[in-house]
Amino acid sequence: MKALAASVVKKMARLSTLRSAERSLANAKDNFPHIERSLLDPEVLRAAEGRGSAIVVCAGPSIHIQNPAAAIVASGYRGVTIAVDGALGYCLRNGLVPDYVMILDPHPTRVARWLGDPDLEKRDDDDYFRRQEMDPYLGVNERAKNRELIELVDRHGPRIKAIASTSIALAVTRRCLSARMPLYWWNPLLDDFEKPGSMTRALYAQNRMPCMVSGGNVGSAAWVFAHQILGFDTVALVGMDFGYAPGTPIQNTQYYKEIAELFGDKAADAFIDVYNPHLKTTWFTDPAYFWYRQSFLKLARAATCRTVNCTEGGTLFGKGVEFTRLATFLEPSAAKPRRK
Amino acid sequence: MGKLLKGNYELGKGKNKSIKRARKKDLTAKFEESALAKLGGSLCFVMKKNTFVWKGDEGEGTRG
Repeated sequence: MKALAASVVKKMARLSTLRSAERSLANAKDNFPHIERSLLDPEVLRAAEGRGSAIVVCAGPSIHIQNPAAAIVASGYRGVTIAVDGALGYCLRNGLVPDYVMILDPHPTRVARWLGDPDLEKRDDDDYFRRQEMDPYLGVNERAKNRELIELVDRHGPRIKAIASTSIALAVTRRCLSARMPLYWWNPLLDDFEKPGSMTRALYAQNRMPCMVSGGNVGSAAWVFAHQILGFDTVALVGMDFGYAPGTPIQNTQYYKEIAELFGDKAADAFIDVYNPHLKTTWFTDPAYFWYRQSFLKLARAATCRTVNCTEGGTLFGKGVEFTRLATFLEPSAAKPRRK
Repeated sequence: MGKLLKGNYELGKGKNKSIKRARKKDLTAKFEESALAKLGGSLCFVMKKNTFVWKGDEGEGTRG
């Protein structure tokens, strides 16, 4: 890892706080009138009963290479599926209606786009969706694709439970409500709740929603939800890349614009190569995704569940995470249906 | 203002300079950090003693 990347990774926890804490707390305040049921609601738990295992569908670039939704549908998988916000459109377009969608990021406008944004045409132009690799389908002919997504989410919304962090923007809450998605809330654990002046404690005092470890990103939060709340002891992951496929232009990565602004012609030094021994290929990542990866591995080692990474790509491997093919996991004997 | 902030004791000339330098360094670091914050993750997070879920202190009622 180059010195520049290493110095940013080292500061990532603090930088993430600076970037998101204030906005998360303000969003939680805005959402307060809509916060009724929590992710511990019996309806949330009942939907997982007797389902054996869970698959978390994340929005990493591998989903567009491997198409796990098609494989999950074709296999007749009987377990629970949890999509992250950025993967919902991909799932629905490919015939997979997830049981739950996890939503977390406090961004004021971008997250609503993952659910189809009814206000897109009123918003300032944002080239993010033309640049991003998470769902390239939405980046071309944007307005038409957005309308298509609104229709899809409206059609399936009532069957999908939205597991929403109180940090999400009010526009996202309204979008869930307009799509008649039942909302179940949780507070992210933002800091040490035992220390004086804790933001988490203040948040809890405000709305009394349970607080959950997020891992800093929506995919990790969905995994925590699967084993800690739904009680599955086997959780599979697809699209959990925490990185970019070999050959991806750095201009098409999540943070390129910001990295280029900050580091100019040294921008390439902020990226990190990760050799994946299971795939025998070198993927690359940026400081935020590398921090997510390292944090996830720590969480996985602390968790009591079996974590099976079926992404077939990316940078997430190591102690606490089994790395295998999705087809192997989907074989009836491999999913090992057990619930705590 | 400087007189007010320095308190009721005398500072040696060298010390004064090093405090100024430290303050300048501190400000630069803060500025750098706020610029770098653009690279931060979706959300800050912490994990305490392997606690994945916290439902308030005992006696506090979590809403269902």
